[in-house]
Amino acid sequence: MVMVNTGTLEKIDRLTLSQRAAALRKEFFSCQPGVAGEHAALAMESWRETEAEGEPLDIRRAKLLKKVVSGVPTPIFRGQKLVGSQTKYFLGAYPHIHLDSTYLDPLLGEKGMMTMGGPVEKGVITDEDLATLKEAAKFWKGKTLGDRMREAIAQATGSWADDLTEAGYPRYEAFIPHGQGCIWWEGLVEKGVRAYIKECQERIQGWLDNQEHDMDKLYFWQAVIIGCEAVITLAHRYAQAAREMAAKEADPAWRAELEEIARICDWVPENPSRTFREGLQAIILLQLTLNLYNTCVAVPGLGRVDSYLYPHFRRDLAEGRLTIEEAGELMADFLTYLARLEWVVELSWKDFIQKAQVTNVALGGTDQDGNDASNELTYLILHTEGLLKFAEPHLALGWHRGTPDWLMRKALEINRKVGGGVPQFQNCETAVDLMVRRGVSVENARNWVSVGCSLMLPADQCTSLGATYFNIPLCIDLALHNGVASMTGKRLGPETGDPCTFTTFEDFYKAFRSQAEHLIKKVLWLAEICDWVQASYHHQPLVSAFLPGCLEKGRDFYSGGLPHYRMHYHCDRGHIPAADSLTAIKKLVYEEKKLTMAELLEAIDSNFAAERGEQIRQMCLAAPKYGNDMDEADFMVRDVARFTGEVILSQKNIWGYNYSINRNGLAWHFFAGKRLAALPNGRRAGEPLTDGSLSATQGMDRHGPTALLNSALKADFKEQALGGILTVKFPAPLFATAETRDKVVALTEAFLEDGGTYIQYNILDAQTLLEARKHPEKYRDLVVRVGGYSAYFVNLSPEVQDELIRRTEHSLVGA
Amino acid sequence: MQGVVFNIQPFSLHDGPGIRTIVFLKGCPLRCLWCDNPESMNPAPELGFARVCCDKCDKCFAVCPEEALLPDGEGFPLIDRERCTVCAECVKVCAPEALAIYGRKRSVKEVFQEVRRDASYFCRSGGGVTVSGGEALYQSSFVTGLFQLCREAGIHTCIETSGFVSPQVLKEVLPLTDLVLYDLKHLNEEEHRRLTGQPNGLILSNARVLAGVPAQVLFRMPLIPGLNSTPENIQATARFLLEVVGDGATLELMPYHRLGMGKYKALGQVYPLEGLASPDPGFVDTVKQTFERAGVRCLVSK
Repeated sequence: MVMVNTGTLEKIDRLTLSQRAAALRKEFFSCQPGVAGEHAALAMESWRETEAEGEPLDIRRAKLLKKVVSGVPTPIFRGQKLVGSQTKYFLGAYPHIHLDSTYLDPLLGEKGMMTMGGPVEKGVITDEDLATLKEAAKFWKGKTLGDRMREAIAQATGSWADDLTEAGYPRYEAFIPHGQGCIWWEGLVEKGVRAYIKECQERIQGWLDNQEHDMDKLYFWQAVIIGCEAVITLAHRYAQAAREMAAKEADPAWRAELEEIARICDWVPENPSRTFREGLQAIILLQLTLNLYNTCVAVPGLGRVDSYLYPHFRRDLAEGRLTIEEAGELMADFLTYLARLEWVVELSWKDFIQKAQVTNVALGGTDQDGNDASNELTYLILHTEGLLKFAEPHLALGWHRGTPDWLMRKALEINRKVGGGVPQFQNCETAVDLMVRRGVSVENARNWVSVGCSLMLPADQCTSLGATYFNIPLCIDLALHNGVASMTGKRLGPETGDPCTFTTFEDFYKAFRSQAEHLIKKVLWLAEICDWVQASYHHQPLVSAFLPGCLEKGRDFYSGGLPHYRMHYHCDRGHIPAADSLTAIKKLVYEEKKLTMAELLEAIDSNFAAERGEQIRQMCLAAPKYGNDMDEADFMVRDVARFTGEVILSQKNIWGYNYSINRNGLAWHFFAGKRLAALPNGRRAGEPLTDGSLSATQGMDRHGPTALLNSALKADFKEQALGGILTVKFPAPLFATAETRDKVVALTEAFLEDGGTYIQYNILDAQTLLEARKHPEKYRDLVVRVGGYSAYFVNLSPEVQDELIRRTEHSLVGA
Repeated sequence: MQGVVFNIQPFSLHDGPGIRTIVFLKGCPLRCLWCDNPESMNPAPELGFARVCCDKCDKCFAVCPEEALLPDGEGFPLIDRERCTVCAECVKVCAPEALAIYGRKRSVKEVFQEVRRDASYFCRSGGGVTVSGGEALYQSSFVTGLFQLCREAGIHTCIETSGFVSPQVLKEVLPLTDLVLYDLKHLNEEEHRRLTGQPNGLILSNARVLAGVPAQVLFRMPLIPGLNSTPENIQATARFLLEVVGDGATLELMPYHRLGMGKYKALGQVYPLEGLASPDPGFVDTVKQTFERAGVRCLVSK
């Protein structure tokens, strides 16, 4: 455990954004993102070359990466101390057509129609780049992982997967390659990439000496070497670019900076990082290389930055190589790099995830012995984010009983500055308990990393394979319609009977459970098919090199290289609307007998537009709802979640381990609600489902935040699942003073201590949001939370904005 | 033991320390012109109507067994309070919740079970239960019953009172109370009567008693521009506090606000301070300075 220097904390409190950090921030909020084509041209060229040479897949993919990093632009923007850019644009992305040939199809129609990470933002694109992308889409047709997965799914299930998509599921194979994770950045910082090349060379020598025969191992190690060389190539190209710029630069100060950048990029990430700055630069360059191969969430998160970079930070400060001001400026540069990570999203996902890579930076928590791990660097990262107010990266604070008061206070202060959600609070005690119960060692569990929007993974399995989202409210619709999705008329589940013939609530509940069990098992089957296709067809040697176990085994993490796959998770979502629907049916039809099932069905099938539709909807809305500390409604959530959880936990992944559960967020509730019929909880067809996984349904929690938290505790997600996203909305005045913020600290800690797994705050006033909608140009930096990740309010679709405004007004009435 | 409760408000941050649940009891002997809880005055349950919520669906007219609801010129229900028996039939059919009953009889045990749900937040934040009103001590045996249970459960107890109660009542409740929030509305007897409908003699003599009990006491003053904000009253209040409490005398100012206005309309009553603006922060600060110069520590509530 470190003794925190309070003098340093006070110095950090006084830090403001340096002039050049402020200038880069301004650029971030004023420039338009671009979609670039250089990557696609290079990838095609490489694939043609290696095809002609008939090389093994792992080698071909590694060479593709090397080709790409050898040719993409390496811009350096004035004022940067840390360099690295995905594209020639300050904000920009490459579509990863080499991973899925079809996903650009709906976007290629006309110039400027490229959707950048969300429905409202269109990227600029040049004619030349657009032509390249069109050519690439043709070139890759039939050759990609996405094509393989679709073909395999169709062979196994016929049209069932398409019918499921139509009923409100995101295309499973669209989000590839699958998996969310973190890599062992500590190894990169401490050893440098060259050490990994050496290790592979030695392993290859051993393979030769022992006269082994497993060629997959040999190709894997060879591919790792090519990948590591690619990282070094990219770093040296940045060094070269900096030197060339310096040679032409008139301003002596900027010229000196460029020369320093060149020196650093010549050294890292090839070699061990000697300073805090080198550590940050090494991380960016490896992360960037991986970004140039992968898309979106498959790109690793940053892990416990405040733990693994702390030794460098402390040493540099102690030995006078670094001042707090310089450290703050470097951190601003680092966070700005992460905020700039854009991606081009598949169209069917556009409502599902908005403009977010969900790059995670984990803070605080404990070390592997259970001691508090937070330090001055934790504080600096939080403070800098409070100055920058970016929606990304995603800051997750690991809470435990030993989390110091100064850190909680700072965390709430930053929440106020950013508008809520930064950082979010994750309970590492419940997460460690759960991992240990699933067979992970306590040291590896305590050394967790935080990934994506809310996932925590143990150190020895710090990445997970693909995850899918089970739409649990859809099972209510299926149980009401004998297995048919009522919006599409297509059969998705078994025949569980005409609900009008059911005589008890238990009959209906049983039908619902049969539908849920069927759906979960069948979707898991699809996921397993995709995992198998990935294991056999698509590897990521460079990622695997920085994961535990893979180099020793000579196996990619997709092919069984990790020490175990105990925390391979899937997400059952929508328990709140499903359970509230069951409670309404139980009350209205079977207990109070105010309605017959036929009357309820008629109202629902007419989307509450039939003669008594609105009256019946009001009855449905008046039935007990989760979020009000009412046992009846809350225990229904617990029971439904336990049931679906048990089904998932009972199934095994392709590596023979039982699945885990993470109930994470994103904007799944919009996507899943859009094509879902009306529900007996009073929700109309097409309306969003409940956000998060333990938040209350919009406007239905009417007894204040403590009642909502008590409901969440009763739902008892901690026994089965990680995540369990709970968003609490507060009016802004509540966070205005340190005194009231201390009360929110107490609220947070009481909730987590009692077993809450996750909590985040949205701090809003409706007036601000209405203003932001009218004048988006003035509010480009307004961050709000939508189901587990931060988003810029002005980038959200009008319907999401409406919902947030509605909820805000509600919270003000209650305040 | 039952009481008429008109609201239980969890997660309250401004009426006592920490995170608190406030139990609002109905019934008050005072009629303060600025009262922001008019629904708390009458000790019996009442029917209220919020015009802004009403969607004019007409359902309430038909279900009222007493014919106490009739449409006004615009189609909104008009409540005949002579006829209304507060049977709540109309409330049941009112989907937008425009019609509501203020006040419900609830047992001590039931209320305790509800407030206890937040015990873990009380414990973490140094909060607890606050009984407010109306006049909290108008139903003093309910408060005694509730506080006995709270004491047994280790929950911090607080009352907000006008002090217009018999000394005997104070004597019974104080041993179970950790904190008393005690209002001084005006030091001049005549002015007090004009502003609240009651004289202040009992309030001031009770205040002297309070100063000698183990419960913590925080004196508070609603700051109503032009009504009790005169320099004379401020000086008199300061003198009184210094006399009763001595060194360390503290007062919390509660600046007037107009949030209760809509409730008067809902109850078919006239808002007595129509046209009075809430004090600007500069004025509040001047009053605070005046108290501090007189030797009284002065806080301002949010």
